Amino acid sequence: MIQLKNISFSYPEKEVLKDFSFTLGKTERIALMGPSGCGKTTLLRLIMGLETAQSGEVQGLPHPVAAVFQEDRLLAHLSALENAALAGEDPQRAEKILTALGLGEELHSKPDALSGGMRRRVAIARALCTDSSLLILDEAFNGLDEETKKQTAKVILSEWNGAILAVTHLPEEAALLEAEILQI
Amino acid sequence: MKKMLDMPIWLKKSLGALFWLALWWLISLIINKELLVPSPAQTVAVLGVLLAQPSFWYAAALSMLRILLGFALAALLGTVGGILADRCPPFDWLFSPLLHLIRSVPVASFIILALVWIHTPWLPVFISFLMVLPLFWGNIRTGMAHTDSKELEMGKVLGLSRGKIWKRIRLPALKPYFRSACVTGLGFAWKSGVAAEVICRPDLSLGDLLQSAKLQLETPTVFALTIVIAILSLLLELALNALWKEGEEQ
Repeated sequence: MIQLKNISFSYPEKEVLKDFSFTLGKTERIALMGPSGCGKTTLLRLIMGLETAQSGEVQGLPHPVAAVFQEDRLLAHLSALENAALAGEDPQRAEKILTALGLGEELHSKPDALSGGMRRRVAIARALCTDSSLLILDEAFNGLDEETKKQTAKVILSEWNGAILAVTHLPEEAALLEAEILQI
Repeated sequence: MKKMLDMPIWLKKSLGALFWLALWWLISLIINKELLVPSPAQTVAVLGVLLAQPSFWYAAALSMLRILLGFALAALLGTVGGILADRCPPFDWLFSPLLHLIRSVPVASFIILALVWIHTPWLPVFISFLMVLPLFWGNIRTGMAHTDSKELEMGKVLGLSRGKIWKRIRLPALKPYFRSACVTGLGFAWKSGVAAEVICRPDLSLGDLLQSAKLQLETPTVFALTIVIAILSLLLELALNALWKEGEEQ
């Protein structure tokens, strides 16, 4: 279980989180929603260990974290399959997930040969192949059409057994992930 | 004009070379003194004589070996130094004045200074090394600093091992910087290495042959040797590019 108690975090020019508390159970799914700049991504960065809270208590942060960042962050010199298997060391699982995500024909394509939506799904596959107890999705469905979003959410729910923490602007995406909405 | 633009690149370059060859021939005709400007024909004739001498081939091979050794040492230590300079700021502070000095001091000063300390046959190795080192050091340091921080962050969050981060993220990011240092550095190594040979004159070296020809006022031999040096430098550059291409295909 991840627990954040009375967390505060400020950037030099702005305070983004103040006395914020939050708990995420082992198999819980939460969708964080809120206006731009309210600290959603900062909260994810704190949980991923990329930032340190200036005050408050943090417990149970997992490492590694299966993360889909706002940007795809795919490695340009690797194929879709190699990118998906980057952290997991299991190419067969990566191939299975990529195929389930509709990328079976693109396993050996490099990122620059893929469309934006395809690259997004490779980034999701890479996270699903990561050996972790927490999946973080930072606007993971950006650039996907409605049908692909449904299909992708289905694959996420069937392939991921741990906790999910998602950031989204759309309640429909939270519903697709069967996640409880938390406004911050 | 449009027809010329449509020509293949090798043909355009050959025409360019032909122009300069014709100009050289014309100047030699006008001056009409072999001692000042030998004609292309006289130079080729001397080149033929040189190529028939085994000692010339030994000299060319040994010069190439010395220069390549200096280049390889610079590539190795420059790469390690560039990485350390990025990872460890005190290391960077310590060595950056030295590298600045090497970059700004003329090569002849180093050759004359090193002549006092280093055994003659090793001097071209040392000078090639010294001139190429800052290039690799600087390029690799820049490459390290320009490695995509978001990719590194991704590797850290997804729990990639340090070795995997180097293999999958850092080394591919450094590759273009290393390649650029190789291409520029090889030319640097040749120029500085041969300059060192001309001054320190180790036995069996192109620099020694060049200096002897100059002292004996054999201008066609000086021209012929200069052409040999340019051709060897070009061949090495082509070989390096071919090696690189093969590596990328694999």
